[in-house]
Amino acid sequence: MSVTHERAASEIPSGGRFRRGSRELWALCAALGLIAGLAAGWLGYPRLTSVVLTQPIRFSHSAHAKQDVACRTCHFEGPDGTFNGFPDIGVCASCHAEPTGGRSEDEKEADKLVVEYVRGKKAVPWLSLARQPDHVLFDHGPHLRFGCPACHPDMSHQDYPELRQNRVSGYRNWTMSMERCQTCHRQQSASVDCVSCHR
Amino acid sequence: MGFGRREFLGISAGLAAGLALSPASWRLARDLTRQSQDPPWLASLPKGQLLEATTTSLACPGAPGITVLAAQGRPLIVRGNPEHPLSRGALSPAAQAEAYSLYHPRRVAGPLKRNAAGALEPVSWAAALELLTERLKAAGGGVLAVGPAREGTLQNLLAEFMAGFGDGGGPGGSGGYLRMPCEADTARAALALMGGAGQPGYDLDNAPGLVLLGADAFDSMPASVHFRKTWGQKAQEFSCFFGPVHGASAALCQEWLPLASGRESHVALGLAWHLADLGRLGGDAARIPDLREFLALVRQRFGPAEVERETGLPPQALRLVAMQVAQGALAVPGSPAGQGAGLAPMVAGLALSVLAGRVNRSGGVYLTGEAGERAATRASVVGLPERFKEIALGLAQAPEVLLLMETDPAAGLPCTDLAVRAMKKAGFRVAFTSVLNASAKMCDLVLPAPMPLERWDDVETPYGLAFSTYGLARPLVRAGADARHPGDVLLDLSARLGRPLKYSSFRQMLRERVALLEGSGGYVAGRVAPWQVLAGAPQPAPEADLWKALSEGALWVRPEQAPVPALSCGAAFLAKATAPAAIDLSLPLTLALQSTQRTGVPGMGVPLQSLTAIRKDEARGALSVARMNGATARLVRVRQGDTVRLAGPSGRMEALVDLDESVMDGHVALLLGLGQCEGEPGGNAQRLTATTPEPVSGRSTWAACRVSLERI
Amino acid sequence: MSGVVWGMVIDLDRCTGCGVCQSACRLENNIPPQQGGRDSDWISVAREVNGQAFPESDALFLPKPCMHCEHPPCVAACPVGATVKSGQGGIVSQNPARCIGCRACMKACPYGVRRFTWTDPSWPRGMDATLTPFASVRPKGVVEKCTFCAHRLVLGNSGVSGAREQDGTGGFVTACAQACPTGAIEFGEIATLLRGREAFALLAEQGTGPQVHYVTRRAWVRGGK
Repeated sequence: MSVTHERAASEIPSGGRFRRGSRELWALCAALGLIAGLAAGWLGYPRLTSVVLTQPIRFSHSAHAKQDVACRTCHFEGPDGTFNGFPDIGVCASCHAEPTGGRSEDEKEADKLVVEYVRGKKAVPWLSLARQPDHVLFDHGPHLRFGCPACHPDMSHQDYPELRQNRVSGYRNWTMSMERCQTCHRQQSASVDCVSCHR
Repeated sequence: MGFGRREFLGISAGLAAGLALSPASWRLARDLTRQSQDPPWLASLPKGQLLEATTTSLACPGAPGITVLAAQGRPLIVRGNPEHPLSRGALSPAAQAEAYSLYHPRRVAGPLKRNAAGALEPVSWAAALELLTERLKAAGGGVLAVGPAREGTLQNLLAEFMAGFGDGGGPGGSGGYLRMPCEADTARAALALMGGAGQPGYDLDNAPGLVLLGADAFDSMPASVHFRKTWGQKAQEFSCFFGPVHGASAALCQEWLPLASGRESHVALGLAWHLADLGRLGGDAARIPDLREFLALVRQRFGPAEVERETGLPPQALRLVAMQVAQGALAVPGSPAGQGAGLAPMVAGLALSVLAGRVNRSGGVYLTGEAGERAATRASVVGLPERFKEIALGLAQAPEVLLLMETDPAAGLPCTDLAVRAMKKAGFRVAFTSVLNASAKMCDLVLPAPMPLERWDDVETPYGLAFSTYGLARPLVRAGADARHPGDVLLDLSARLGRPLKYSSFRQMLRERVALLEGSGGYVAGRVAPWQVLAGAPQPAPEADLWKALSEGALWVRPEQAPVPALSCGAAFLAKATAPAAIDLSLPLTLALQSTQRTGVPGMGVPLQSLTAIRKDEARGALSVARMNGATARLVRVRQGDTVRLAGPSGRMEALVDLDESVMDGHVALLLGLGQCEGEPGGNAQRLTATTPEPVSGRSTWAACRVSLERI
Repeated sequence: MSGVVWGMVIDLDRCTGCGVCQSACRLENNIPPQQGGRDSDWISVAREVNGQAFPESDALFLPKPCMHCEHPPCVAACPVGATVKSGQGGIVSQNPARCIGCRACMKACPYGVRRFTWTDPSWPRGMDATLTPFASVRPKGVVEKCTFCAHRLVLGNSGVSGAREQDGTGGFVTACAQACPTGAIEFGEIATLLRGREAFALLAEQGTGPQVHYVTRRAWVRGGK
């Protein structure tokens, strides 16, 4: 370092092309660059790579809870213990057979469901919040006893949890990290072998 | 003060330092790694609940029960149904193909019609049916229908539909209903010749030993899935296979006795000689009407010396096998390719069981009755290969309209070149098919049919089973094409032709069929397997709601403990049919045709996922592999890896030579079912075959064709 | 789970070379249709001959999955821990998400049962709708191999989690063993399977301790291996 300084000092004639004031300007530029770089790295990158996703239907959990619709009406285990995940359109249709014609936001959404999906018997392309990459083999069955909020956003507290997806990796903000899985598996003395969770 | 290079470098350095101090680079690396682990451009896996449904396989000739695993209403995978007596968890590659075949690359999306320029173009169902009705009306009696070898209500309906056109199937007529040739029809004809009725079946489940007289019981025979499951558990029992190639059936047998193609009747009759010589005829042998003539024939022409001369098998070997037969080993006649043998090997093989007193006895040959009417009994007396040969050679009148019901004669019939010529002579060709196969490509009208898993259908007693069976297949998914059930189309057509049949829909036909079964003495196989009933277990009570049980994939069975019928041994026929035939010495090799359920369903082509199940010693790229042993190769002057041209009497094909000591001297083994359509592996070995009429019966045979071979 | 070691006993005298194990495996584990003639099956079925000329010739079919060795040389060769000997009954796992595609494991494996994905997988149009949720779609440039259908150990035999209660771990079976019509492939706890049988392993002299064993009455097979 010192060598370069000495060389720089000896080679640059004072009051020559590089005036004294420019050193401060250079430092300022460098500082500005540093701030810009840090900002880009800390704030810009996440914003650039993440995209906010919206559900096809703005589904309100609380509105359904108020109507005394039990969680199990839509999210249930099959007769053989398999977990259904999202309900299929038949479940929605059992209540939303006809449009309400109402004016409120929720009613408009419900009508959208009826018009676009229920009548066409089309499955609603719900976006899963805690989507895992395809190489993860997750079976709901043995995890149900820990309660949904152990992994999913707690729907009793938030109605429309924010959903962001990384453009590059495809991971979502609710995607579980392997570390979290492992921590819990260790606590429960469950297997942490690759074959137990990866396919 | 100015903003120069130095300041720019300063900003850049600051930016770089800032980025380096931030986690952006690490995050980018992490995100790219994650992307590479689960690339978004690759197909994604199904999500959500997996559901299972049970039904019967239509694609596998053995009709095993299958379990279909589906997600979001889409079938993902087909597995054997452990509860089903014909599957017990096992199945064939053809049955496994049912799920992904729904997306077959050559699937017909909607009705197609040949336009003026000669290309197939889409047309509406209404227009297609109108055109067909018009052509059928104009054709009068000149309508020829070709049905598949499989038995079932659809085939019965086709026969009934064709009966409406009058008896065009008589000699000289151009119409009628014909079926693709199959071993079951040969076996039924053989049984009829011996004075029996129905279809012979082989009770491997209760047999203490097994002698396969050429029969490919463990691969191409329809009942082979069941037979493999059964015999796999009895591998300790005596079993031997007579045939030119050590293939699948020989692999499961303890012994392989090399036998030239077309010599099966000699071995059967040779065994009969030993049986008589051992004095081990069945207790009721005296009831055989032509016992004296049969024994005289056997003594005169099939003594150990004569049989050794004809087959090369030493008398001691046959003696040992005959002793096993005397002790209860079951003799199953047939042809190693499951087709092309005449009546003689069947009659001779069945005669052996008659002689040993094994008919309708546990562990023997059973005559299974019909589970209703059978289309086969209504088919023209003249077989399809014979009729097509006559049409091609101009000896018979070509039909005005040719109806192909889910068959592919252009690829599947022996001597394909003649078959194609015959088809071209037809005035108007119509194909009911779900994929555009070689025959459909030649047709003027292609009517798409739903695939298995998309349709109602039924399957009856796969050939080989010792008990009658009936299974239903139900639709589990909506048709992926603008397809209509061929049965419903036939019903619609008969209404348009002004002679409506008495069914409202094909499904209605099936319901009536099932209602008929309810009172016919069978039961739904469950805890008690049908072969246990044959062995003496009491038969369970019939099911209350048969339709419900069957449509959920259960199997109706009827093990028949009928009295032992008085069968003849067909001595008069055998005496004439086994006379030495002329051999064309210009064609030095005998074709040992091989057939397997791995090559999939006839007319559908080789299942894609099973491509690797076609081994490298069977096809490489577009070339079939011709297997022969070293001595044979030296004789015809070819070496391992040579490309050769094989030529039969009327067709030729290229193949690669593979030296394989599993093939007996003088034979060249080729796998059938390959190269049936462009882009498929291998070449179609049926091009090499030529049919010769069997003495007396006049049936086409092509089990022992001769070919020449030259290096190119 | 402790103490259980999964394995196979393959009866060579019962294999008819029908290929059902191969297609069952392909379909279960999302192996794409073969491209470019390279081996892609996780279980291969090859014809083995005794080398004698007809009529002394003899032949059989040899199904060969991953041997799930007791001392797997591939695990030692892997620089990133993508393949490990797991505590789940000795299954040698293969994690394509972690694999860097260096192919050191393929070189180390004496049985040649590991496959490299030379291309991104592709299916005929629409056919990817029949992918199962049991195995990931492996991208280009990773090594894959037989996993003894480990997903069935996690999910139960039918792939439906609720079925596990009935099956129990004792009923855990691979897709190939389930589909095999002759029962030539038997899968289960290896100690139980081997009891009272004269089995042999391929390349036993390599000391890898395969968990896949073979039985046959043919002396030449044992001699030649």
